[in-house]
Amino acid sequence: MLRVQAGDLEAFEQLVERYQRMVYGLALSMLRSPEDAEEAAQDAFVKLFRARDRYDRGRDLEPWLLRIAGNACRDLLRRRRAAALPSAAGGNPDDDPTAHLADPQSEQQEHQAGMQQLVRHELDRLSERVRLPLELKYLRGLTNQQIAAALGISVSNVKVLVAQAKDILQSRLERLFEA
Amino acid sequence: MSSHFEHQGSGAGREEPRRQPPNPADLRRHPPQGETCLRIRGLVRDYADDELEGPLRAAVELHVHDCRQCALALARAEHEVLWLRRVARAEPEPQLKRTFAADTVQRLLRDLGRETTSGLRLPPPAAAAETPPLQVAPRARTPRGHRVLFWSLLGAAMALLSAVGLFAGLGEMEQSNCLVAAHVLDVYDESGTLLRHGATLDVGSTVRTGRDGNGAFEFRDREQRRRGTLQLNGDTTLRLGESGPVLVQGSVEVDAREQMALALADGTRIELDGGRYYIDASDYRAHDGPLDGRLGNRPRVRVEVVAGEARIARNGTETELAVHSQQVASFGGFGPVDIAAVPSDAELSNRLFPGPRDVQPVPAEEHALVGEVFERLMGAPRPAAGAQVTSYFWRGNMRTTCVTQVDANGFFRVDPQYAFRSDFVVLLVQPPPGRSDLGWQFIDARPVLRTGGQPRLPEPLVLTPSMAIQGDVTDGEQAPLLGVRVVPCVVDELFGLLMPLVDSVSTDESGAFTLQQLPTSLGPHQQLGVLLLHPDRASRYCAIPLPGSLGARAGRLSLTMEALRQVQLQLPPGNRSVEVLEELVDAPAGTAVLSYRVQPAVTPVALACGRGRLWLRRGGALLPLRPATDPQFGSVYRPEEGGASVALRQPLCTMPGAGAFQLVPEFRHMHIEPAAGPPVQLAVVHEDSRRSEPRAQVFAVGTAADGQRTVRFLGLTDYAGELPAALLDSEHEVVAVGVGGGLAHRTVSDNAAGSTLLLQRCGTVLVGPALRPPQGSQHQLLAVRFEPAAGMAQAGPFVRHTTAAEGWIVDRLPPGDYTLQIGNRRLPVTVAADVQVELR
Repeated sequence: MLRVQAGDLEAFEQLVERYQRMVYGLALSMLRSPEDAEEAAQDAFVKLFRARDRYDRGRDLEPWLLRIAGNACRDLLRRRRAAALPSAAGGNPDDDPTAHLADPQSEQQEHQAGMQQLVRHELDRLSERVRLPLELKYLRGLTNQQIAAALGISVSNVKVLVAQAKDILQSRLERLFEA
Repeated sequence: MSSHFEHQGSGAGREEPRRQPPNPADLRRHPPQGETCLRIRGLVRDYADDELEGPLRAAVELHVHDCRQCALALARAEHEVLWLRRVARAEPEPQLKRTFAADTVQRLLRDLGRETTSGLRLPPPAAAAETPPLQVAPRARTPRGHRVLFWSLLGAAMALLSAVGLFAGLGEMEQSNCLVAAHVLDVYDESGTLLRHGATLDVGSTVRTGRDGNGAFEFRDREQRRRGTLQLNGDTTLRLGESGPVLVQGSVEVDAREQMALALADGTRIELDGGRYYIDASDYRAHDGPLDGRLGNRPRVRVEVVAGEARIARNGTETELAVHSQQVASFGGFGPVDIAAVPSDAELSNRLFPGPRDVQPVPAEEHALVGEVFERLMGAPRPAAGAQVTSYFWRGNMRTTCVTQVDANGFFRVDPQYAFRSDFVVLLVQPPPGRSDLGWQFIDARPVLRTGGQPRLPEPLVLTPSMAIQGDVTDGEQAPLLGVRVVPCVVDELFGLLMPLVDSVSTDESGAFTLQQLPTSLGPHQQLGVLLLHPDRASRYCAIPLPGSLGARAGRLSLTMEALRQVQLQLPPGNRSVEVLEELVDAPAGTAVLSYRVQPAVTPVALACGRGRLWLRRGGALLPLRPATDPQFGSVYRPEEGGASVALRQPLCTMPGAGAFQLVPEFRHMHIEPAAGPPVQLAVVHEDSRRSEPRAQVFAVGTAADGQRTVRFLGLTDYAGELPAALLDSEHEVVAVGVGGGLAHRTVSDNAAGSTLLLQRCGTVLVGPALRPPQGSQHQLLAVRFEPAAGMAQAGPFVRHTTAAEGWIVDRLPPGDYTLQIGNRRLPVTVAADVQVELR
């Protein structure tokens, strides 16, 4: 990073190569579109380079980069939402864990197709607020601290949101099994 | 434990991160039983995520050991995580364009072009072209100048892959390898299947060694050329990725024939030249700790170069560090890599027992057996300094006993004066003096490993906390008995042997007693019991549940002793007193007897004794005393000339009247000397799956010239479930005990032929409602006594305890016919494999 701070683009390219998967994985979870994720990841690295003078050498680079990447994703989301008509008129799906249950028959087919797909399916149906920490933690393998840095929330909030996501997930899966 | 909770509570919301809240539905369905339960519920999810350390982690482990509800809550939390991780594994890896980094630089340049690029050093165009991202050939020697980029790329790739648990997901790696198991003991694949010699592991496979296990693997490249040998030690997990092996956890010894690479699960990459290396990542999971560096620089990974050169590229660093021969690199957390010279040969022995302690290695004596003893209370294991280890092993034609003390670093060394050549050792570990909170680790046989020529135990012995067992002794009318001597002991259900344990205690005026330091676990077919001895009551043996078990927590033990009976003995008259022996009721035949000195007379002599069978010792012979009706004296006991004395054998412990009581140690591995003659190749396999059973204990059972039954320990089966052993002519029966308690026995008729022993699966017995204790009664612990029919492998009766918490089910019973006794009820029952029989 010191070389990057000195304006060494070769070092910057190496830095991108080192962190690109982590940043891209984060962006993919947040944006759920490969194209958008790639764009946001590039945004993040460009912003990092532009802000290199503000980098505190005494601190880890990774949380800082994750925070920049999280902000880049949120910026892109805002731009996308501003460009598109609002479609999410339903409200918070977490208010009623069973409100968005799909047709039991199709759920049953998914269950037959495999428990993993079912869990993945229900995970996708969680609200963004709780899905994102859960997905980053278990699917992207980020630590609580990394998630907190990326989402701009506290570690405590990360834990609470992860637990809430698990509760909702478990509740929905139990309902499906009972059905 | 409470102090740890207080610490957590005071820190919550400020320094300590909050814990994941428990599932509210779970709390409703299974309400916590108290404040401790409630606190533990708040920790189980963090425990399942491996985010608890030190005392909190130990507190959860300790609590769930005793609390079924919280144990279930923890199981559910782990189940949640399991499914999420499975989803993660099934998730396709995010694909990123290979030119992403270069494109990003170009985009940056475009953006900056509108501003200024002055002061920037542009990358040379050739550099990016020469080293395309993630195109790495592990075998090719990378030019030194490019190695930084090479490793940083690998590090980044491995970091992401390890983070999502996809070590084998290096789809862009060109190398494809496989591992061939060469010698494995207690080694399993990811589905839990025991690996056999010659098994082939493909890319993506995971191998895991049990705590006692080890295994040697040939690491081959795509062209099936041997690249090196990996020796996995106990408790190690290794995953085979496309770019090479990934050490997930544990320790591995690498004998590299040529250059190869090995990765750690945190993204660290270790490139090895031809040579020998020892890599220990036993505390590896601690790497996934907080980012704020609180882990400090505690070394958690050691890379020791015995010969050759290793190059380490850690995830997150740009530097590739070379470790030369006779150097050791240690690193951990986010600290630097420390490279130092290997201090001395003595430390080589220490590496075999990586433990959480300051390293003060014991001097290694060549060919001396080295082992280690930990104690595990709260927090990390600590050396059990001062514990006493009694070792029994075979040397030449002699069985040798060696008593050693565990030193301050937790090491003990057996027989430093002679070469240790036995394949197994039988061990008994007593806690350090004054440590009444720890239980004994009872006698059992353990294999000895010889990697590097140094005999060693494959894993440390661990002393665990033992809860006190309390009980009351009353007479038949529920009146407390004062001064009853309660002697804890272990009984072998197979061979009827008895072994005393810790010091005996006596009941107080309320008839109460407390036993401490009892073992918390026993080997298969061993049971814990107590001898109840009192000069005015009928002494007896009584099986008791293990400390910490559900049965032990069902309440205080309630034991009774009946009154003595008066019998008339009609003995051959003589001038000298004779010895009359009385078997202890419920004790295995021939284990414990009471001894009385009786002066024969012309008329019958009266003797106050218990209800056990009586024997007369005359000279070296034992004659059974049988009741008879004498026309002159009425009911009398007389010696039966020619009566078989086999049932009593040589008594192991005697209590002469009201005098001293001495127990003679005896256990089933006691006789381990080899026999001369051609060896028989014994193989132990499971009856149903035909899977071999490593580490099965094999015994030869014969009959001595005096008719007594003899038991000889032949040894432990090897990784393939086989054991060459020589048998005596008189030994016709071989008994094998599997690790899980399965039992196999057969008659071996020919020493020259190989013999296969089939391990039988177990059955269960459900005690019906009519036979259970009344609901609401104080004692909800049911002792069920099984008396095997003649001809079964079990020599004597055994007792199982069950409670409502177990659903009144008695399980893991070897198939066969039994006479079952609950209280005063006796019922015949036939136990079959995998079948549950309900008693009505």
